[in-house]
Amino acid sequence: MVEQQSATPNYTMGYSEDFQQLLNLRSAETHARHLLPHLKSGLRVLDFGCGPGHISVGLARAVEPGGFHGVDMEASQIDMARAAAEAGGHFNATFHVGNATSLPFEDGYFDVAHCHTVLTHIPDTQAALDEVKRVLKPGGIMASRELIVDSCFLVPGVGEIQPAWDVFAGLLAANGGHPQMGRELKSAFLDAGFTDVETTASFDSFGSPQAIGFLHRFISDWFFAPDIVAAVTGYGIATQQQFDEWRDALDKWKNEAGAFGGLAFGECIGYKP
Amino acid sequence: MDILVCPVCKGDLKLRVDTEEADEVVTGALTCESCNEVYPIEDAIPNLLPPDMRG
Repeated sequence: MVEQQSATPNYTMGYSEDFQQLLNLRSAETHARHLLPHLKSGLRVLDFGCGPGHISVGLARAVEPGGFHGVDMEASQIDMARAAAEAGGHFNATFHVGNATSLPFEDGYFDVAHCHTVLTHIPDTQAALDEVKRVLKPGGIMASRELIVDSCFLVPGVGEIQPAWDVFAGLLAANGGHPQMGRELKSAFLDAGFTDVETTASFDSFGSPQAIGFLHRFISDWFFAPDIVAAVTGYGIATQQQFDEWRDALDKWKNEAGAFGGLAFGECIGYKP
Repeated sequence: MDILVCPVCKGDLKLRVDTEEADEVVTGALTCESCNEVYPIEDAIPNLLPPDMRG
């Protein structure tokens, strides 16, 4: 593992074991469904904000032997992504430490650029889209899937748990992010000059006992972690007492017969003219 | 490596190899031929973050 100080101090999700477990659930088949039909052998793909590479490996596989490049600001994530690609035998995949708003690639190199839950966290959406557009060929595809925190849910409503989503949104925004990016993608793509923009929305849903258990554990460990609670109370978005009430409500929710949860996302595909 | 450019000025990068294993550069650096910024390669991973974003 590469040891270095985090290059992304304001990345809301952080790099905890809990969050890595949520990322472990991701794959190109489930999380880049909107893009996969557009991929074929030989295309050159950029995955920016690739994290530990769970989606990357499926994208690399879809375009083999085409060149796949993954970029993330965190060296520890790039380390994991490389290991995942090597384990899968995807020797067309290359990973670099880099930033979406200052990409280290020549103009017009890629056929496809992809990101998942990345524009949600980048303060200047247009700067990122402009830079990605620069490295795309004319006719190249930009694809993104981003959170819509306002549409995320845990049901049945137990106690006053729903306002916790607003607090999560407030935390993302306080860190410079865009908690509703998934429903703003179409406008953002059009503003950046992409054409023939296709927009859809979907949920990552948690309905089985195992999935409910996982989501409960993830929220318990991540949202109630001392650093998150400290950040939220520090920003003055919520109080310690509210966190205590939400934890009780979350524990109660898990044991409800009708427990069901969903993370909402918007997806968008656009073309560089 | 041919497709990589300086993330800041988009100039061409020149590779310096310090150590390599099985044709892979393990440590070294990429130096921009336009603005002279140096980007380190450590553990076979090039760090192409702009200098002001490095941790």
